[in-house]
Amino acid sequence: MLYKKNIPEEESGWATLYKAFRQPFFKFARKYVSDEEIISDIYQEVFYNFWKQLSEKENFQLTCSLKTYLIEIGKNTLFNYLRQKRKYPQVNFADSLKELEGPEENEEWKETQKKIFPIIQRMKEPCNQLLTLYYWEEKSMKEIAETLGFKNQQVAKSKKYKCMQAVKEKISSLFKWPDK
Amino acid sequence: MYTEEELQDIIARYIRNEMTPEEKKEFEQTLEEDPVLQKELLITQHIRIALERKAEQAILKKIDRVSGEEIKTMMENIEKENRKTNKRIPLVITLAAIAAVAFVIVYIGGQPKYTTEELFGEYYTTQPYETVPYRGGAPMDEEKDKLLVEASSFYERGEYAKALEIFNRITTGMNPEDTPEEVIFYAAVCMLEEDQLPEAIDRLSYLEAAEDSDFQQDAAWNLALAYLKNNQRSEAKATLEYIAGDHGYYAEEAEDLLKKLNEKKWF
Repeated sequence: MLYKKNIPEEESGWATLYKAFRQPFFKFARKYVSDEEIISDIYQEVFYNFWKQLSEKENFQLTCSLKTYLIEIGKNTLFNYLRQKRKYPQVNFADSLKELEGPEENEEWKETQKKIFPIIQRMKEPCNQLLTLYYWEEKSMKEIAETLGFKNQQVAKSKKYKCMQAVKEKISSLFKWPDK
Repeated sequence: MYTEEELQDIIARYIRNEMTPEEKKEFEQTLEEDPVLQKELLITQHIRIALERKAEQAILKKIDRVSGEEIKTMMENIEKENRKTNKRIPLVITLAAIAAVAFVIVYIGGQPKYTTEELFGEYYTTQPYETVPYRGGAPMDEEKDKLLVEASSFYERGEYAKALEIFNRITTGMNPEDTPEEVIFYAAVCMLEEDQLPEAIDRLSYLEAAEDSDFQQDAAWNLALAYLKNNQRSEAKATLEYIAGDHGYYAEEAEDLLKKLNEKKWF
């Protein structure tokens, strides 16, 4: 079976990045701004600054993932917008940002990640694309089913479960917690 | 107790920030006490971060030097595309919308052009009080004759409620066949004026059916109008058809009103 390519060959890396981070940013921003046009404007400003940082500074070194870095710029831009409009978030802004940043990356985490990363790198299709679309691009099961050519979202969901089980089986021994 | 698949879904919703604040609070409370859930969450987070690093490494290899203008154009194009996608309406919804519009057109278009209320307002005028030679029933006593004069006087002044009260006093204890047609008719008109429509219809129907009555044609015309006021469109039509076919002095008006009753909004 041939799976549709997640990243079309003719698409630039920047366009892929723009699309990949768009959905997570929009999901986050919708908690504070209801107008999609405004979120779109803010995201373009965020991404433009992201591009500037990455391309204009020589030997620019990232200390975190691109997504975390973009979200960091995003939260500042969004916060500035809300401050200008004197619209202060009703929910705890700091908590929401913590959610976006992901787990705390301590030494133990980094050690475990070193062991997991090669396993993920070797992951075969369609699991590779399916899990990337789901966990990185945060696409819905419907969108994933359409992108990868599954019959429907139920089929995609069932496939995702099997892919996750297969990966977990390989990495489970790296964790010291009790079994179920 | 959740199945493995359900547990995976719950963790994914937490990681993707899709939980409501209440769900999130409950999840975090359970997480504190459940080492199995802690392990599952940590494993999933590791997988997610590893997937992220892998995807980013692949993209970084493809990233070229581009100008600010190119970045802006690229962003605008993607946003334009997204707006189009959001606006794209699935075929089934389009067809449903067309069917709904067609239904509305046919439904509205097939609706009568005039409401019964509008036609009643246009055609109805209160019948002037006219004393007629005594018809129907037994002769009334002197007291009732006096009451009739009083009632007609209220009627002429447009005080229909008061006139009706007296008409009712006259008819109390009387059988319809003993009641003068004049009393029945003008009492019915008062009822029509006072919106006591079923009662008005009842009395007008009685007179309309009496072919030798002096009030027969007036009763038929007022009956048609009473039906209109009571929104009984088909009954009004039937009565008007009868009046038009009878070639009496309301025939022309009845025909005209009938035409308007049959007119549709658009076709």
